[in-house]
Order: sequence, then C-alpha cells, then structure tokens
Amino acid sequence: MTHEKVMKTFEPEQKDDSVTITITITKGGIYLKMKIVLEDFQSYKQERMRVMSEIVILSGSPSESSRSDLVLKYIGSLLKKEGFIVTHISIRDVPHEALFYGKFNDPAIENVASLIQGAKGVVVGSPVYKAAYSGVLKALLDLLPQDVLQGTPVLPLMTGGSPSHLLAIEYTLKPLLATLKGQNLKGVYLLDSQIDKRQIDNPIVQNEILDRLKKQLYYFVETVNRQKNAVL
Amino acid sequence: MKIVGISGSLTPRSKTFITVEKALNFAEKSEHNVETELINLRDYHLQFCDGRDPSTYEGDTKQLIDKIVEADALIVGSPIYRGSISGALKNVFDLIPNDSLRGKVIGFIATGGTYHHYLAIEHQLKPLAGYFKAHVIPGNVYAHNQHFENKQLVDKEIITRLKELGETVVTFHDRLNREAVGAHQPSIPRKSLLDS
Ligand SMILES: Cc1cc2nc3c(=O)[nH]c(=O)nc-3n(C[C@H](O)[C@H](O)[C@H](O)COP(=O)(O)O)c2cc1C
Ligand SMILES: Cc1cc2nc3c(=O)[nH]c(=O)nc-3n(C[C@H](O)[C@H](O)[C@H](O)COP(=O)(O)O)c2cc1C
Repeated sequence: MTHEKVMKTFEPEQKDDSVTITITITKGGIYLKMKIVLEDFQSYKQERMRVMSEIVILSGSPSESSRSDLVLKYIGSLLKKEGFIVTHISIRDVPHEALFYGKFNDPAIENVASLIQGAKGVVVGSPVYKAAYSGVLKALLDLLPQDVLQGTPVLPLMTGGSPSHLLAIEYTLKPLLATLKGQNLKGVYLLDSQIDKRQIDNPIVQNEILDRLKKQLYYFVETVNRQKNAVL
Repeated sequence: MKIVGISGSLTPRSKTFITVEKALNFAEKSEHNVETELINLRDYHLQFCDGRDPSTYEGDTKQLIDKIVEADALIVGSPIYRGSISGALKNVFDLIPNDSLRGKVIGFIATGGTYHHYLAIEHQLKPLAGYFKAHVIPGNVYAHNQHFENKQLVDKEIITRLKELGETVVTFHDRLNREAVGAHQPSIPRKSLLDS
C-alpha cells in the first residue's frame, strides 16, 4: 500500500457578524471542500465573554451586619469597574434546611454550584470562627461538587478580631478551596479594627491593608484575564 | 464523671455515630462511676452560629451548648467531608463558649471513605481543641468504609482502637488537673455586632 499524503487546509475568513471556515482535504488528486459558516458571530462572542467574565463572590458570614461581607461588596465594586460581571452569593441566601440537612438537590444549592462552576474567578470570604472558617460556610461547601472550582483562580479572604489568627487562611480555608480544585491566590486577612461599618463605599480604613488588598485584587484580575484569553 | 459523645454526621445509620457509640460504651464499662450521653447532631435542630452572645440561643441549640458545657470529657466524631470536619460539626464548635472545653479531655474519631484523609484529625480537628485549651488524647481513631459491612462495624482492630480510646479518655480525665492548661493566649478583641 502506497502511502499518500493527506493535505488539509483551513481558511477562516472573519466578517463583522460571521465567520466562514473553508476546509479543504486533498488526497491523491481528489479533494473535498467544506465550508462552515458561523453566523451571528458577534453575539456568540458576547455570550462567551459573558460566561467567561463572570466573577462570583461568596460570603461565608452568617451575621446580618457583617464586616467580611462589606469588604466583599467593596471588592465587587472594584471588579465591576474593571468590566467584570460580578455575582454576589451569601450563605445567608441559602435556606437553612438545605444547608443543615445536607440537601444536595435543593434548587438553591444547585444554583450556587452552577454559578460557581461557570465563574472565571471566585472570591471566597469567611469570618474567623474559633481560629478557622465558619461552620456554615463549610456546610455549604460540603454540598458542592468536589471539583466545583476546577481550574478557577480563587482569592481567599478572612476577617478576624485577632492578628494572631492570620494563619487560619493557610491552614483551614486554603486547603478546603484546594480540595475543591481551586487555584488559590495568596489571600487577604483583615482585622476588625481596619474595617468601619459606617463607610459602605469603602469600609477599609487603614491604607496599608487597602494597598495589600488592591494588589491581591490586581493579581487576581491578571490571572483571570490570562486564563480568559487562553480559552477564547 | 460524665462523658458526652458527639456524632457530627447528619446521615441516618451513620458510621460516625456507630463508632462514637462504641467508644462511649467501652468508656462506660471501664469504671463504675462513668456516665455517658451521645449527642447525634441529626436529632438536634440547630441554629447556625452567627456571632450573637452564646447565652441567648434557645431550644435545641441551647440544650446542646448546655450539655457540652456540663460535660467532664468528650468523645467527638466527625465524618470527613472535603478533607476536613463536617460543616455541621464545625458549627457546634462555633456555637459553644470559648471556655466550655477548657482543661477537658477529648478523644477524636473520624470516619472517611478511605484512609487517604487520616491526617485530617491531626490538621483539622486537633487545632480546634487547641483553640479551646482542651487536652486531646494522643491516639485517635480513624475508620473507613472497608471497616464496615451492612452498616455494622466489623473490623476487629478498629473495635480494639475504640476501646483504647474510650478507656484512655477516662484514665486521662482521672489523672488530669483541669486547671493546669498552660499559658494564656493573646486576647481576641471582640467587637459586638452593633459596633461600627
Ligand atoms: C463565634 C465567633 C468566633 C470567633 N472566633 C474568632 C477567632 O478565633 N479569632 C479571631 O481573630 N476572631 C474571632 N472572631 C471575631 C470575628 O472573626 C470577626 O469579628 C470577624 O470580622 C467577623 O466577621 P463578620 O462580621 O463578617 O461576621 C469570632 C467571632 C465569632 C462570632
Ligand atoms: C459531602 C461529602 C464529602 C466527603 N468527603 C470525603 C473526603 O474528603 N474524604 C473521605 O475519605 N471521605 C469523604 N466522604 C465520605 C465520608 O467521609 C464517609 O462516607 C463517612 O464515613 C461518612 O460518615 P457517616 O456515615 O457518619 O455519615 C465524603 C462524603 C460526603 C457526603
């Protein structure tokens, strides 16, 4: 059997709202030509961008007047300024019954899972409770698929009363996010004394920690964008 | 002495429950003055800890807190979820007052799917006891799916380990001075929820 070379050529041609790809396969004088037209390409691209650029911010504080949640809202506003579509989820919005009795199939849980799964970047915040993440946040994460953060950049954030519990991020929150296959960034730890609840627009009252947070956010955005561009 | 067992699983016929129950039974048999009670989280309708003053909880949540506060020693079992303590059990630790386990003896049990997450006791459960200044007995028990058959604990070695654990909790409690817990920790400034 003689070995004949198969030739393939791809000729994409991009117009404003459509892409035509012509594929030609040639083998020993016979050729097959296929033309694929992707119409309405613009909205297809936009749709992809929408899904791609979604940032989910998950708040793990059950407190109705929460410091960590305020900081997360502030982070959300900064990310929106960067052009991201941001979705906030709080464990306060998940029904108690679903969390407490481990109802994997509850629509609220499924909704959280699919939002996080579709996200291109996730910020997870928790108050420090007994030198670890809050039990209620863990109860929610227990119910999500074990690869829910697969390939996703994750920025962990904790707020605590004490500077001596900073390592709770390293020893409790990050391992948990890693188990869910998230790609952890360094993370930020804020003290209660650095947060003023009356300043809703920017509740962080200490410049050093504000700079650190912005720097982390910059790295986070950079990582998300890099991954986004690689996929598109 | 009173030993309170806690099973941190919410599933019916839980493996965690079975192991904690066994360890409690061994503890009870080891000395005549040992009384035990097993708290199955499944039977308690708990609130999630949200930062309020622990003394203001009511109903099942209050009952649970009181039982833990009154216990002399504890045997605490968790199913391993995502390489760590179950959220429901972490919530119990969140709910109880900071001094409620001070100087008390704790034996830990964990059950998982396989042996892979054996070290979760060392890295996730023991630090909690450290926070509360409790004494953890050094040897803890980890059981996994293959130690069970038809929802019964059948592995002889695990049963022996549960006996060792139960008896050691009693021995430790008898010998320890609850006031001797070492140095104070740096204080945690706590703002009330209403503070700005
Ligand atoms: C039950 C409970 C346990 C806490 N444990 C700790 C702790 O171990 N270390 C610490 O630094 N702060 C601790 N704190 C303080 C909170 O971490 C801190 O106030 C945090 O900012 C609360 O966040 P939130 O307002 O978003 O709920 C605890 C607070 C509560 C209510
Ligand atoms: C949400 C969830 C997460 C789990 N994660 C782990 C895990 O990380 N490691 C492990 O060994 N087993 C894991 N398992 C298996 C349970 O730990 C194991 O079946 C355990 O014995 C259940 O205890 P129970 O019968 O007392 O509920 C998980 C199970 C569930 C439901």
